[in-house]
Amino acid sequence: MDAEEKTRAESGLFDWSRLSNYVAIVVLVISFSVSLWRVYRVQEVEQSDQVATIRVVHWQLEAGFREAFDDIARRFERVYLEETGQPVRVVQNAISERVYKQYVQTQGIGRSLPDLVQLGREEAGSVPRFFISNTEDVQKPNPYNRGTDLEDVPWMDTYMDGMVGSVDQADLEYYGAASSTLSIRMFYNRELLQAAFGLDEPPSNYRAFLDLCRRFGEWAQREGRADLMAVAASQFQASVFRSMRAATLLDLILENDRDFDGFFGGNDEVLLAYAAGDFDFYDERIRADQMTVANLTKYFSPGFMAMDRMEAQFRFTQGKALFCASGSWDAMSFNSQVDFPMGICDFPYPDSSDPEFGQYVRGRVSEANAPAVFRLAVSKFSEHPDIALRFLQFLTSRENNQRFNHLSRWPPVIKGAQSHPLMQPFVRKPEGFWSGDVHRVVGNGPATAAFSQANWELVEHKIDYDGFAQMMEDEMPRALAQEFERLLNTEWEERLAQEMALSHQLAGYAFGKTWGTDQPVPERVQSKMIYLWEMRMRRYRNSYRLLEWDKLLEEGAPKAREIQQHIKIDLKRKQS
Amino acid sequence: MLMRALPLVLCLSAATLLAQEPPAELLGRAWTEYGLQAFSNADGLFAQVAESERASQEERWQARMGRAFITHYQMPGRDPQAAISQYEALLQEVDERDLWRGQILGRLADCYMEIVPAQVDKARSLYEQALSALPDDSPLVQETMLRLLSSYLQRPDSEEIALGLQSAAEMAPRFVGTPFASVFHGMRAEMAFFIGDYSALADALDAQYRAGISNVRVKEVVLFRLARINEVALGHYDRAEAYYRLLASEVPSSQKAHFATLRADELKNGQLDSDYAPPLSTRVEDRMVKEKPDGR
Repeated sequence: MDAEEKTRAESGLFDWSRLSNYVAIVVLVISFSVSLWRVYRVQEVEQSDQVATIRVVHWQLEAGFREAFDDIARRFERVYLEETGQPVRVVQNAISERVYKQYVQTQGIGRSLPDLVQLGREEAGSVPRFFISNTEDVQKPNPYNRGTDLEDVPWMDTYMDGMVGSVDQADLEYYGAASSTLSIRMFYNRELLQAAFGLDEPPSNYRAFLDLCRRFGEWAQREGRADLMAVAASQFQASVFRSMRAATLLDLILENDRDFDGFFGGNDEVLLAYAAGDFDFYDERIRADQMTVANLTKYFSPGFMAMDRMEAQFRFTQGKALFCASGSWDAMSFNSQVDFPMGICDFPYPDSSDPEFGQYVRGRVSEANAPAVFRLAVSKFSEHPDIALRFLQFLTSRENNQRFNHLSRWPPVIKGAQSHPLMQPFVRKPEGFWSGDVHRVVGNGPATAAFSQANWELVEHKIDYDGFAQMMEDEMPRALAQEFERLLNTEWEERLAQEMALSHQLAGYAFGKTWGTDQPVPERVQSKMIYLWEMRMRRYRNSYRLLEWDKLLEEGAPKAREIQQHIKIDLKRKQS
Repeated sequence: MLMRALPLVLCLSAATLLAQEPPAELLGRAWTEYGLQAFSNADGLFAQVAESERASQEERWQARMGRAFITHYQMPGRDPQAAISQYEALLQEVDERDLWRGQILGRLADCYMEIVPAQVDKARSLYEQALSALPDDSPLVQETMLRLLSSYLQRPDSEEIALGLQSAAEMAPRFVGTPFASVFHGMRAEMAFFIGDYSALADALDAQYRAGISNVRVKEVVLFRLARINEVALGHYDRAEAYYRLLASEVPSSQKAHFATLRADELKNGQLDSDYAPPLSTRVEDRMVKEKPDGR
């Protein structure tokens, strides 16, 4: 006993600091015990011999999503009991997107993945290893569409996209089924719009919309509301607002589309057209494409490119901004967070009457290829794969898909399923045209880096469009030379990777009959070989590119010569 | 003591043998692992079969073939040069006219195409040998012919590609009605495009479409190309209209379906200069100027 304690004991004073330690220990023990008890109870329920449990893991933490999923799960439990007399329990577990990929990978390796797993964040090539293919099932009708006009329709054909998003590119089989789709729209604060302009809806005309954003700043200043801004934005929203671009590049695309497939951008045609002098970045159509968004970013808050996405969204939901833009997945969250009447509308695209861009506008960009999302697949480690598959079929029947998406406020993915009224503005619009990344040959290469840098300066209005074009012109010869080299190598490597997949099918064809229980179905082997060849045919283009490149050099095309100076590899040694 | 222990040893040996996986199952698992690109797992399983006394001669041969495939195709670390000697050793042990012999000759030819620099002539000769070895009714005959054709796309040489087109014309009857017909015409289309023969390109793409395309994205591209080539390069506007309509009806999920419908309507009404695409009239004038000197 030290002197202080001795003094305290002699004086009869109570040691309060020691008591707080005891209290902390008691609280800790109680908390730990309660946690243990809860874990035990959950495990007891899940591991009950009487009830088959289907565990589902996903990363959708948006408001309302889990509640909607629970509702469908409870309905399935009831229907399954009626159909089979057997009880079943569906338990969902939402995991943060930040750790989701690692979770799936480690649980897969540990052979402990739950029954149903949301796909889309896994390691490339891991789907066939960890999940059960449902190729046969998607070709049969979904039994939960019985009694509807989809009764005899193959499950895959009940999807708006024909279920193409469920095909795994590693082994060309179908895995899982998606439940929703997505689109991008603009959110607005109806209260502020009413207060500033007496309007219920923003104008659908691009120029009128820009003018309204300008006048909103003036109004806020007059009202002494320096905290208000026209558009809540960050770097994320700046990219989202690129959805407001019209199809101003279509003529440029079709003019330079050498193989007539309708694509120009992200391919060799960009290199060949640029090197031939067929287009440059002073082209008025590219100017129109770029300036559509740059005209709007004048009304973003200063320094928005350095701002966090959530911070920008928070400003909108706090009523500090008139507009914000995001995807359908955020609609429910926004709706539940705002305490003002919120509206959702399509972007005000420039149209053919636009005084500056009108002559280049061919219409809006089509949303026909909107992707299917929230794809769940049955894990190979599921103890009840048949029930898990049945749940997927239940979730994606027209009736239940409508109900699920109605509750979660996401756009449905099954033909004929109706959206919730909040989702009506998100219904995809297939009418329209297309655009392209006319600044690059390959993905994530030096041309993309040059474009991002110049675009950053442009949308922050540190340079004007001519400055943007000059930056691009300065960088493109070097960047395109590097991308050309990369393209030649990539095509070769991609074809070899396909060759590996093809070799597996060739082995299956030649030896499959001797593989015991792993014997493949010959028709499937053959159809996979054909599918692989269909994909492979266009991977012999290096010889074409080199032929065209030689022609450009022989003709003395100045830009081709400039690019050639930056090419480090020996093109003569390259082969297809 | 020894007499008493013997039955026990025999029983234990029998149990061990029974507990071992049959070679056929091991081979199935090995190829599955190979398909999943788990090459070390696959190699281990192939090695077990190759060394197993329970495996038949054919099973052991197949296991060695699997190991040669791994040498040839594993990524990273593929080594077609090293695979050549493995394939050649396997070749010594198969019959003259056999599916497996054709398979090895085909892979051997692939190796000569993939080494740097490629030995294209050697590869073509091996593909021809593979075609002679394969049973006539095997789909691998068409698959091997596709590989032979692709050898003409290896070098940036217009004359060689034109030779490939000729070779394709000779092979065409052997593809009629086969599952690979569509792919064959697709390959022809690539050759025609490389040398700028748009008439042959349109013909090949049309044949590709008619033979049936399984991948909807490939079908989308083929129909759009057919419409645009007929419209822009060949001036066959009625055909262009028909292909645009096929695209809109058969691939409604295409981003180009809306454009296809609009353009088909314009062409039907005789409107050459589209409201949605670059004007055609200047191209038509250019084509007429080019055609006049030849008297066509």
